[in-house]
Amino acid sequence: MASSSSNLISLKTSDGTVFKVERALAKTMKTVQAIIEEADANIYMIPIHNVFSHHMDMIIDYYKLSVAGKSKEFSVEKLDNDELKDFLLAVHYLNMEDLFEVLTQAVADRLEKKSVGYVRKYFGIENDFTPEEYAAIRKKNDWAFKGDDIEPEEDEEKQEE
Amino acid sequence: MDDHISELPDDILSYILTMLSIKDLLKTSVLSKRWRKLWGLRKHLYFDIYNVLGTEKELLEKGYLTEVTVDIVYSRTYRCVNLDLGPKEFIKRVDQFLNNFPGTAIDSFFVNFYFDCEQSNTIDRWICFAIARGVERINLLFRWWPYTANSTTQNKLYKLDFGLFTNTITNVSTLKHLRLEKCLVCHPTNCDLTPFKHLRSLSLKFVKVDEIFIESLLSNCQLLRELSLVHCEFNSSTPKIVSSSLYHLKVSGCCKVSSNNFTRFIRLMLVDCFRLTSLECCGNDLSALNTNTRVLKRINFSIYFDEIENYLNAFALCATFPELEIMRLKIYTITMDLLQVATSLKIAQPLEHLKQLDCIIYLPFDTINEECDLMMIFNILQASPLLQKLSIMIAEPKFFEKQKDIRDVEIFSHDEIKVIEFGGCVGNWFEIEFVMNILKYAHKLEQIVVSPYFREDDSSNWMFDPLWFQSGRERMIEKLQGEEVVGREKLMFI
Repeated sequence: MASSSSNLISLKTSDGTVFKVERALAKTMKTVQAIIEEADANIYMIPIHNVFSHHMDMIIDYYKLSVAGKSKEFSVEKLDNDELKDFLLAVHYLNMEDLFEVLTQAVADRLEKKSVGYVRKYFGIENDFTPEEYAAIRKKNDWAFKGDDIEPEEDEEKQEE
Repeated sequence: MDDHISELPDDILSYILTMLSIKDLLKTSVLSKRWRKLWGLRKHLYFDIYNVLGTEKELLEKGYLTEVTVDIVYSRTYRCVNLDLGPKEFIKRVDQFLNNFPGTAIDSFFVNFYFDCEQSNTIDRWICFAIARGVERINLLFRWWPYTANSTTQNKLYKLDFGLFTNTITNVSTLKHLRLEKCLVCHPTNCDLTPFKHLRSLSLKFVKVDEIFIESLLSNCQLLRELSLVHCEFNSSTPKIVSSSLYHLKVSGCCKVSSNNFTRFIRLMLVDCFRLTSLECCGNDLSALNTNTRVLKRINFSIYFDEIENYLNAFALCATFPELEIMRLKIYTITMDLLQVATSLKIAQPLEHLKQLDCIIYLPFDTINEECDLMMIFNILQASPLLQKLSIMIAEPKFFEKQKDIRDVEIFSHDEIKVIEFGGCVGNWFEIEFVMNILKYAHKLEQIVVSPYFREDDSSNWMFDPLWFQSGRERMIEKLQGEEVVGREKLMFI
């Protein structure tokens, strides 16, 4: 049965949940918009790979806030790095400009003004340099490593000056 | 815990890395072996005093900036850059960055720092670096702004070397956007302008330039869409702008300095650009302007009220553009009597398609002896029958000593205008007069917002006179919320 309701679009996430979203929201997803435009007849259901239902929940939250002019209230603080990465990949797949900008900025904010030790600890990055290698590459742009950046809580890897 | 962030695809990482400051970007380069090359994904390189030398607080602490008291009477201090420390350290750090940067392709390269001919070699080297990596946008902004410099010697400007812009490896010219401030641009004698043939936009500010270069550039750059010449110094006073591709043109505050050091402002004589949709220039020259465009949609000009002809000629010219929709007008009023003459003269030809008018008015300086009124706005409205949106801002508002009674315009009516923004208010009688009349005679008006905020142009900060919040706002509300005021429900006071 073709969907005759022209205001709602059906999107099926990877975990099998079907979301009925407003056409205006679907329009912000350029990938979905392209699928709609390419289809000759009214499309029944659009599958969106790599997007899970919890992603769609957040996308709908963001949409509601931005329609009300409150997009600045949207926050991804409660997501850990892995979750943020997956959400970012989903939004990238759907090609949603504004939300992509918000999420990439969120990642940049998590990296901003933190010391190297903090970033390693927080993002789970292992230091695979030898002490000599490490000292050598730091020396190449030495000025960037001075200053009061935020340090990690435990002083396990005290490599800063 | 695993390193999730570096699992993101390159194009996303590149985007995120572009949002980091230079310092944070460099820190990512030492996180691990995988991260060592990732910073090369960044496509946008931007170097300015904050990014490279530190926040304003750090600049003061380390001596890159010093506070200098200029005026003991008014305790005015300026922040001066330290010319001994600053440039050297800036260059050292940027050189370090560029020498280690692993990226092979960049989109934009911006330098915003005070440089002059002394650092020519360095700048040339940096341009080569960018061109070799296929750069599309270059900004070289060599002013001291927002700070000043305690320098007694005025060094010569950095002279742009056109030979650097040829990519010797690929021979492909990738440059699309060039923006220069405080440089010297001379027409090249030993090379042509083919490296610029893909240029889409050119912006020159505080640049010494010769017209031969402009004319040559316009004929070489068949794709040039935007040209902006602000506060530039020319060799002649009547440059010709001829282009079959230009859409936007801005010529503002340009001048010619003659041999005896006499400064004369540029008169735009010929603008032969049949695709031009947007023009910004000085209104005093509009009478002599010979334009060849039928598709102009936007015009932006300033009128200095030293001659009333300027005002009328400007509107007469605007009436010749059959598709003109948006007009932005800055009016510098010198004396009151000229303003009153303007009110009495009607604008002959209507502006048939004008939909939006933004007006910034600078009031007379003398607020004790001078008077003011805004009645000439009604003349402009009368001449714009299809106007939908009007914005008036009084720049640098002042409260006038002599408050007069409010008059009724009487013979006025407008059937289209829907939205009005009225900024820069302090509660003067003429502000109230304007609002009362517009409420009465603009029949389709939906809303008028009255606020104290104004700004000189889109890139300046909003300002306001605190008098509004002390007494002005109340004064206006009192006069405008009475029952006899027609349409008062459409009023919104900030």
